[in-house]
Amino acid sequence: MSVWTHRRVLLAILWACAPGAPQAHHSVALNFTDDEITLHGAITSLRWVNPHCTFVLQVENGTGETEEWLVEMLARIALERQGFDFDLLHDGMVIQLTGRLGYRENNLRFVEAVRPDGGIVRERSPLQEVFRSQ
Amino acid sequence: MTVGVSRLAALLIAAAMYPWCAALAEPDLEGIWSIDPSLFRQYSDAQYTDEGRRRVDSYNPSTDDPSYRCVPSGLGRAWDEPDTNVEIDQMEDRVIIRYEMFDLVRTVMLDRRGHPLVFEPSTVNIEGDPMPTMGHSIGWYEDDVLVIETVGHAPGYITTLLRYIPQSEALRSIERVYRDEQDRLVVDIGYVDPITLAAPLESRNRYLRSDFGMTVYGCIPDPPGEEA
Repeated sequence: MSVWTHRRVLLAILWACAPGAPQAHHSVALNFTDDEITLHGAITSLRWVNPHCTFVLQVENGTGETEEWLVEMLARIALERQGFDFDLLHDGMVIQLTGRLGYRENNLRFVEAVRPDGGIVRERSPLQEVFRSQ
Repeated sequence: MTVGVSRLAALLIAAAMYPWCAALAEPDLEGIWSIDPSLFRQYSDAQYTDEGRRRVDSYNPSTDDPSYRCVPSGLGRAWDEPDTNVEIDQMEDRVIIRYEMFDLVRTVMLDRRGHPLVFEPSTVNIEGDPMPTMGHSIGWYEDDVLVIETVGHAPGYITTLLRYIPQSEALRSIERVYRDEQDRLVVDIGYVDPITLAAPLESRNRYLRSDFGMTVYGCIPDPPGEEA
């Protein structure tokens, strides 16, 4: 096991042990590390559905090839109840995305997106406000 | 009035008052509830048998979580869900518990003295598909507490949020559902599973009156086309 993998496992364990870490549907803690990366790419296959809203981010890598990253968000029902504006993201939009690396290849947990107009899009679980205040 | 007539009158009065008295004894748990962020997913330390440990060690969260197929991994998973509502309807002979997550409808019969020899899951989804990981449930009232006994669980995981606790067909769970003095719903669950658990497991969740109504969840397998 590489040092990088050890670090991911350790981070995952620490995250999983943190009391009240926000989770939903399939477990975020068990599927994603705490390691964040930022990518620049175009949104495709956007789906506002339960149990997870998802889209594919098409990212051009250093060799000129296009990589596809599956980006997972909260459930549609959770976004609706926080008043999320579903018009903020759409297919074809080029964004700068920050997300948590998943254990599956090319899988990210959405953290925030910067739109072409500079607007920042975030989501929050109904529980996250509580965790922030603790 | 003779003694016999007096006794008959007393019996008639008692029979007439029984439903009223029974109703008084039953707690009012009805309503739409959402999880209380200040108290949820409180689990005791899981102690595993060798078989339980083997199942924990072999669990792959990327593929083994039934949630990917819109199926609850177990009873605890349904109660642990943070983003959706739970609705309780109490009827004379049954309690209906609707979990908004995955559009689950759980029917807990109150007039049964035991479980059937062949278990039929008490929980179905909106399509009527049975959810065997949720087991077969019967219930009764003990003072102001609704007690639900569930057996006949299909193998799965009591929960898969934060932790994954395997369950076998031998799992027996007792839920105690009640309202506290601040009009909050409390659900305490005790789990005994001689195949996976070396000691009883306990959990507690608390719920508040929800600000939202029930909706159709309309779960779509995630990620699309991938079977866990």
